[in-house]
Amino acid sequence: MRVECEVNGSALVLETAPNTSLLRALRDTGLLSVKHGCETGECGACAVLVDGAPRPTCVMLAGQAQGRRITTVDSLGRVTALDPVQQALVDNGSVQCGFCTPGMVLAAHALLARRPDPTDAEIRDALSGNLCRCTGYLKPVEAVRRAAAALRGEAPLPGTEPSSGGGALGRGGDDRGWAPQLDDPRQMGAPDDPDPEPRGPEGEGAGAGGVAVAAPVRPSERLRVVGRRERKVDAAKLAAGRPCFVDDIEIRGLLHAKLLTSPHAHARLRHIDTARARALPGVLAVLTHADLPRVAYTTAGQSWPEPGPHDQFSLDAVVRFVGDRVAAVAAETEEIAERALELIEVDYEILPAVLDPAEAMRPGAPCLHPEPEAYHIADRERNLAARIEAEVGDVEAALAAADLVVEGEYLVPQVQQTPLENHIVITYWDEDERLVVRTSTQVPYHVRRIIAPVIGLPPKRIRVIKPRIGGGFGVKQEVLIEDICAHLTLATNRPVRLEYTRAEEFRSSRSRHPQRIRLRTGVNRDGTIVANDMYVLGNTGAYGTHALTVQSNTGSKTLPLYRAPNVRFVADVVYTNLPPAGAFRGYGVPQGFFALESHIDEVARRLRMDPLALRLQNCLREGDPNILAVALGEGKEGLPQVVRSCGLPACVERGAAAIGWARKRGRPGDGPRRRGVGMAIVMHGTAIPGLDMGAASIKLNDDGSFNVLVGATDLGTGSDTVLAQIGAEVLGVPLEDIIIHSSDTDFTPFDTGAYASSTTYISGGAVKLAAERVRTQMFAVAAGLLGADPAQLRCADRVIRAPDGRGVTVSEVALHSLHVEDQHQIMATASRMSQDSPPPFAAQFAEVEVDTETGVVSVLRVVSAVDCGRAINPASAEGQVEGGVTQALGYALSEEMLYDRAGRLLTTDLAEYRIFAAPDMPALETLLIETDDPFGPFGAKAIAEIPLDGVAPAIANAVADATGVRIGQIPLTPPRVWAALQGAAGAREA
Amino acid sequence: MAVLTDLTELHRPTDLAAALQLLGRSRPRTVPLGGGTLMAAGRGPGVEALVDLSALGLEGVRVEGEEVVLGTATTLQALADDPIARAQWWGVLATAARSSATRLLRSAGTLGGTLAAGPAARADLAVVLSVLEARVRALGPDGTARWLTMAELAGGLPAPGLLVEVRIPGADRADPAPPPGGTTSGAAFLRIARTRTDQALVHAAAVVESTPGQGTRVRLAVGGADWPPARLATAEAALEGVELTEDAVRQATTPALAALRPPADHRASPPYRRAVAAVLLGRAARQAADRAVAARFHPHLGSDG
Repeated sequence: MRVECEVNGSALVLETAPNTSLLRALRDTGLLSVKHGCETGECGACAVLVDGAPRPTCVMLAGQAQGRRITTVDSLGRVTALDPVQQALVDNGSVQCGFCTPGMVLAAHALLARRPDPTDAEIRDALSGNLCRCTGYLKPVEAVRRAAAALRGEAPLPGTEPSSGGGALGRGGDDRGWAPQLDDPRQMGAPDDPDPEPRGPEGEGAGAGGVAVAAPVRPSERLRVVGRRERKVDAAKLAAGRPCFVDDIEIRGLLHAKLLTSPHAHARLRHIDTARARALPGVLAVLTHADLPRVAYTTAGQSWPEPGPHDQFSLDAVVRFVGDRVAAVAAETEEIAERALELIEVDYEILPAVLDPAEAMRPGAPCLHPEPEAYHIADRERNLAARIEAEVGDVEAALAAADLVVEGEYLVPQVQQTPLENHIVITYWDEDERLVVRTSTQVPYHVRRIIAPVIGLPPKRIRVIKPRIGGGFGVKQEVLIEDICAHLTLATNRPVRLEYTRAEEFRSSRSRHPQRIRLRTGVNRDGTIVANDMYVLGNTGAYGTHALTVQSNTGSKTLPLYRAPNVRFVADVVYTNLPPAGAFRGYGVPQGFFALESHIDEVARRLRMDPLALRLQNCLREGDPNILAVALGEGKEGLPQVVRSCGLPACVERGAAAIGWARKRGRPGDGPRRRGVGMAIVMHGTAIPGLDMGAASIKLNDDGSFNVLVGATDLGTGSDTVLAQIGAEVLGVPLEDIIIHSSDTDFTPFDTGAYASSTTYISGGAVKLAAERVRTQMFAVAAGLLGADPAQLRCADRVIRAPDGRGVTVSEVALHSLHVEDQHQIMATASRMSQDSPPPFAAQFAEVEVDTETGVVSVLRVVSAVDCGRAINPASAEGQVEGGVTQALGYALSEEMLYDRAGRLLTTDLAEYRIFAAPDMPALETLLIETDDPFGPFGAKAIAEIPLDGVAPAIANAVADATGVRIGQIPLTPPRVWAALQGAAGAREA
Repeated sequence: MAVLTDLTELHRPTDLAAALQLLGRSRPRTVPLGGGTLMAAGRGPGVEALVDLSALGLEGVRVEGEEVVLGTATTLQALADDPIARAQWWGVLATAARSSATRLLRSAGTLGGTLAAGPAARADLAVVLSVLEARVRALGPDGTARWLTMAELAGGLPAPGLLVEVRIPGADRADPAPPPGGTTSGAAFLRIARTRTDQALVHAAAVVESTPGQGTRVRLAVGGADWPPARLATAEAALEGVELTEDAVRQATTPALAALRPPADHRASPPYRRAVAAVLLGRAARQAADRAVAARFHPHLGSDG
């Protein structure tokens, strides 16, 4: 049908089928700023303005646009000239992965057109349909408030104004044209002012939600770029909706792939007949297990050799969960591919299924992985994907001798990462018949290595490109669909695109391991903890991808937080016929800390101690060893670790003051609504010691700019910006002189990838080292030009100076080395790995109100005091904390994957699986308690994962403070809380 | 992506007769299209033709005599913003329209589509319309009109047909104040959910009419996600003239709720839904009663501003 409408001010005719969504029609015309995030209108990534009103286009037919006026962000600003809303979002750090940003910009515009001076509640409501999994919404709400003021013509509100960055070259006041000067550089007077005052870290600005940054720790060190709230280097293009994600390219002859998945939790494929599907016009390939070599592998994107079970096959004759792959189709259109799926006839022999991990371990339970090709399985007869045991000291003896032993059991749910961008990959042959894999991944190098044997190509014939990524949170540390898309390109010799729908993302990707955790703690009357004993029963679902390493972390990152000399950790990680668990930001640690930090409160209650005091009495301090570091590495014996920096006492003190601990604790009030405060202390790791490696290459260009090439994978976290800041600092140039690129396995050096909170520390260390080497080369040239000793030179503000004040610019050095004398490319590559994994620490506090009659828990406020070493970019560090806390709020209160008895997932859309939206947010306060770690670049440690660790136990502890009832299971949904309160009331009456 | 796999026709008629004629066809299978969000999200299996109602002039909210009339093509956002919806019945209509869906879905979703989808819409609006004793005008293919109560609508849509308007009785006239000793009314709507923007596990609404010296009359309705709204007539009768304390309402509604069959699903158990429904009904009735009394002295309080 023919649809006539106005798009961004121009008349447009859409020729579409009646059932084509407006989303699809707009993307097909090249309006790639309109994103696909779901199919139910719940996420808002596809929002446009229809006659000025913001609407989701995934649930709107193209035909409904007839005669309407459509507006997308393409009509607003350009990268170099953003409109006020886009600019405000870029300026205050609201753009993380940026996948939701275009929709948010439009929703904000629709609001401001009607309400030039909106209240915060109105802004939150206006953004209620724009889900964001990165930011925590506070910064976007603040940005809309600022944009409103700007549009009203008011002076900018006081607050955080970054100095440069944002990807719009020249925003730092340097948009002059560049032309090489012919003067002899040796005579050139570089600008005066040989040692300008450093601009120094900006610590005073209060960001959204109230942020304070403690004084930097090395006052002698003069930093110009590191420690500043720079704009994200990719923010402008993301806010402008420029095409930069996997799906934002057009390829001639592109085929569309679809997967047929199992309707049964456990079945053998007796027979598959694909004849009718193959015969459908437009179908180019139908693949089943019979068409592919049987290569056992793991989808876990980890370093070689991957320690976990290798128990997967691209396609197999047995399906092990509802949603497991049965067959794959490539066709000319998605509709033909979908129709072909319906024509595949499968004769399933239904096998007994087991959904409960305890049952799965019992004799006689159905065995999930009897196949002999699978390996690295701990005990396949008992369905044990992994078994972990570690003990230091003598736990039984210590428990027997302790004054008091407190036991507890805790249950944590299966939850999903839910990045706004679903898994998507495009594969094609390049002109040399090398396979290009353009994919939304956190681990491009692992993708190349892991799929090579699976698809039967050597890595040298594979090139993996990671463009911008719409969030990952661990689910893209999984080599999930690259293999099957590649198989289809190999089978058809055509480019193929495979994208999960949101429902497929829920049913057939990965999730956080659900666990049942038992704890026994031995403590003396004086509050000294003498022993901790933790047993974890983890459910990995049908495949064991990250089973071993996630569950290792459940013990190794939690138990050492307390100085008990006797510690035992045992974990059974069990196969069941449910969708597999995998990596999810926090990686086993939020599970462990929900149990441990709930339990410590119970210990305090039994001792009649303030839980805060009990923690401070027993927690790890600077100089302490990590007691489990050697016994529990990630999948193998670990390296000894000593804590070299620890801001935990300061975190506790500052956080307690911010929440009003002394004033509010133990004062629930009367009536049906009770208030409480709770807290938790947590630690994490910074990269996997002795294993994670990142490399960086830096080269100097004519104009004094630098290409920084990194394998590190920015998936929306801002790591490109942080790495560029580190490079700029060392090289003595402003951030806008750094052109950073990540990542392409043909052009950027190796990096293990974006996981284990490693990028700032490991990849940042590599950038720092490479930059130092480049600086040495520049100084050698400059020394010749200036007749000075290279060891005496310094570089700042683009000028390399001798102690006498004479200087040459970086551009002059570049021109000289490239064109004039002893011509060479100034360039260096460096790698970084670390034997140390310095833990970041945090204290997190929550204040809640519990409606005891309905079970509704309202979180009023969360305070996170985080020791992340030095914050390279405080704005992005806050963004990491706010976003992590928001994901943890969902973990604590609303998110849970639920199944029927046949193992079919019930929560398959974003209405049933409820992540937090803007109106749901409590007040968040972030306190960056900076320490100076001796190993990290400029003293930095990790910050990515730790914000997730302590929120759920702090909330459960606050609920206990409010009601006197300990609830050992999350999420704290109204029915669960109500049932616990009823049960406690019943027990009191009995 | 294709959203409605079997769809081959999309019509946008400009008069009711044409719309009804299209909807009256037995083949292809033709259904009305409001905003389309629920149908597209559910992928509308078996739907072969759609009749887009947006050009029929069925949108808008107006007062006619003592009735408020809502056109079924009115979007949820228009309802949430409408001055009449915000002014009448203490604004519960606008409040429930707002909490029925996100800002984006409200710009698309219509009143008619929400009513037609029933509990699948998971909308708060239904329980409020129920307690306000709304009637829905449905047209058959030959143009014959039927009036349906919310309870009748919950029993299933008359098919084929078209919902064209909703009428709610008992609108306040523009009088500056009620006559001394006259009847005033209050209304309240409450919901609980996992998060504020989540679908309601349980929602409840109450309307109280208060006449000095004669006590109060209360109307109560309850429902939730996948739980169609129900009026609690026996409880309403039992509470006539009784002081509406939360406890009194809970006691009166508990047996009525025991007779209801709320869904047993992954969201919540029936005992939970019944117990919490009693709590919300108690609170809503109390709030409505307070508002009815307040309206006696401050008639302008009746709107949410």
